[in-house]
Amino acid sequence: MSDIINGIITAFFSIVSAIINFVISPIDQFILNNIPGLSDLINLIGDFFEYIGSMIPWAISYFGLYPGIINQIIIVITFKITLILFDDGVKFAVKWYDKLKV
Amino acid sequence: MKRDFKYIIKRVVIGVLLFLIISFIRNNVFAVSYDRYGDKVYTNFSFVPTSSNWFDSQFVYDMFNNVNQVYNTSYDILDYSYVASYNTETNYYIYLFSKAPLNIDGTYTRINNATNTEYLSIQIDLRNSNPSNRKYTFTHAYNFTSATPNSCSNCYNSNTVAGTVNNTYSFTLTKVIDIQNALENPILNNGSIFENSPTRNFDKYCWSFKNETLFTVLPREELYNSIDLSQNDGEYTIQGGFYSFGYVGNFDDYYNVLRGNYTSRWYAPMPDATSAVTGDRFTELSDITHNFHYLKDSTDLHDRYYNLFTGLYLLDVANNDTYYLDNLNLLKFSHYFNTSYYFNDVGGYNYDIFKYHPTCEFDNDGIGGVVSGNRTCTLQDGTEVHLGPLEELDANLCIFVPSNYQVSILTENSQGGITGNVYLPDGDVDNFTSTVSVEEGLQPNVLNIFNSLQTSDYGLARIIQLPLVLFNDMRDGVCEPYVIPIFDQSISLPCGDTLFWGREDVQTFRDWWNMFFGGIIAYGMAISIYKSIKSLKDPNDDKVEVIKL
Repeated sequence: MSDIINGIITAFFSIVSAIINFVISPIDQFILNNIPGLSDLINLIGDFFEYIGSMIPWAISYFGLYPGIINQIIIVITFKITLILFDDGVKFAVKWYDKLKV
Repeated sequence: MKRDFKYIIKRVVIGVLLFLIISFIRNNVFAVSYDRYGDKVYTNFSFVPTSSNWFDSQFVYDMFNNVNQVYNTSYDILDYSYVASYNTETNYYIYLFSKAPLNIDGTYTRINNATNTEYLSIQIDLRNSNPSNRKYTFTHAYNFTSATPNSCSNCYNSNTVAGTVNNTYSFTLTKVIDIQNALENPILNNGSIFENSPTRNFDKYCWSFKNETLFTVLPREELYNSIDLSQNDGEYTIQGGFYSFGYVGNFDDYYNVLRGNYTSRWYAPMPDATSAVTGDRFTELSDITHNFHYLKDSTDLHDRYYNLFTGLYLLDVANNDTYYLDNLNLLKFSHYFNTSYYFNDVGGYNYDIFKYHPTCEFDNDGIGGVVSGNRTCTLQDGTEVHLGPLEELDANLCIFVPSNYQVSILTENSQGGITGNVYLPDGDVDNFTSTVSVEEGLQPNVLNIFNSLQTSDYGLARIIQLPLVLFNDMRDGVCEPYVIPIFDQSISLPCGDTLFWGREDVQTFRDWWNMFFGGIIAYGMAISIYKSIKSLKDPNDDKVEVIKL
């Protein structure tokens, strides 16, 4: 069961990631080719966030949390993200069913 | 409800931060006055030559051969530091290792106030100690009246150094290693030894073996492969002082070992297996003696002393051979894995774990004194280590592993009281193959989803996908000390484990704290599920939440 859930969630995020890449990459390419200064700036922003991200383990270490708890937090985040998809799907189905009844 | 939840979180976070700040100040600014362990356990690290002291008369006896020592030592400084000394006939090397910031502003004076007695006095200013600017004085008097070596029933090795009494010697304070600040300047060129060495709690796994046993150390990419330090001997000399006590982690762990928190009796290879080597001193030393090695050009007596003290008495230091760090003992204090292998000889004899290793070369069996010839041990993952008691004795292999990790061993003759996973297959009791593997624990597979994602490494796509990367950092990131460069200096902010959470005496609190924090998360999760299910009842509510990047 956990494999199935894992697969579903992985697929979901892969799709999201692929869509982002598909939509944004041409824009990035355009900026890179035509406005290289802006591209550098964007990369700097990315670098900054990445730098911040590199401090996450350090910051987390001050909370003294066990890996299990950290995983729990990620599970919550993952849950909240993926539940939206499930939630909207169910609502869409219910609305569609209600219309059919009428 | 939501507001209350945030309120609690905010207060908890503030409380934790305050607590850590106070701990930091306590541990560093007022380090010396802070009696962490509640008693004067650190007097064990003084110069007082007691039989239970690791730094006892045997070593001092070797150090000042033929010298009758009188010690007047101020102990306070030892609360957070210890002093090790070496003698090379003409020079005394004093190594000071300090957990607290330790400033040596002292003067070293030699006073001849008696015909046959000299005093060495060291003044050390613990500027960051409490009370501030308090000076500590070590005064050691050495009486040279004794023409013959004093009785030394448990001598470490009384035959190594020629018994030349030398009344004229210089006194050299070689170096002060400030562990607290060593993070900024890792002493090893690979920068890993002192880099973020958080306090660890070690689990001890022991297995008892009978007759020959074959061990296979499974590959693990984080493990160190052999490092040739032959090119760094000059830099590494002071390391010898540190490693002379064989420890690769920080001082809390070191203290734990020396304080005998690991109550089992451990034996390291001793210079002479036939001598009386039982006793606390050796057992304590042996806990840490398998972490070595260096060094080429170890020709002088100082290095020889070092070698003796580290258990490298098997080396013929006159040969200028190249030696290697071995990874079996994992000199790298990595975040992933750190362990040491000990050979416990219940019969009172001591075995060298490398003795039977195929890559170790010996000219003789290595027991009974200094071996002449090479000894190059290059132990890598995947190699096999034969552990074979020499006689009809049981032997125990014990591995110290940080509590964060699990050790699984495949053996059939495990010793009782082991925590962790121990599998007991069927097989011949007296001849079997054991497999040791180390795995990270507490990493549910379901969270691997963020690892497999293909994220962009530039542009807007990268920024948008950063949260996914951050999840990975959250999950897999390993804390490194955060270094803030300020002009020509830098401030190193150690990890939480180093400062506080890794300490042994807070583990209970940490358990409760995790329970509390985990409870809050679980509570939030339940609320979230409840709200989501509730919203399902309203099909017209099609509000779509998005992650705010």
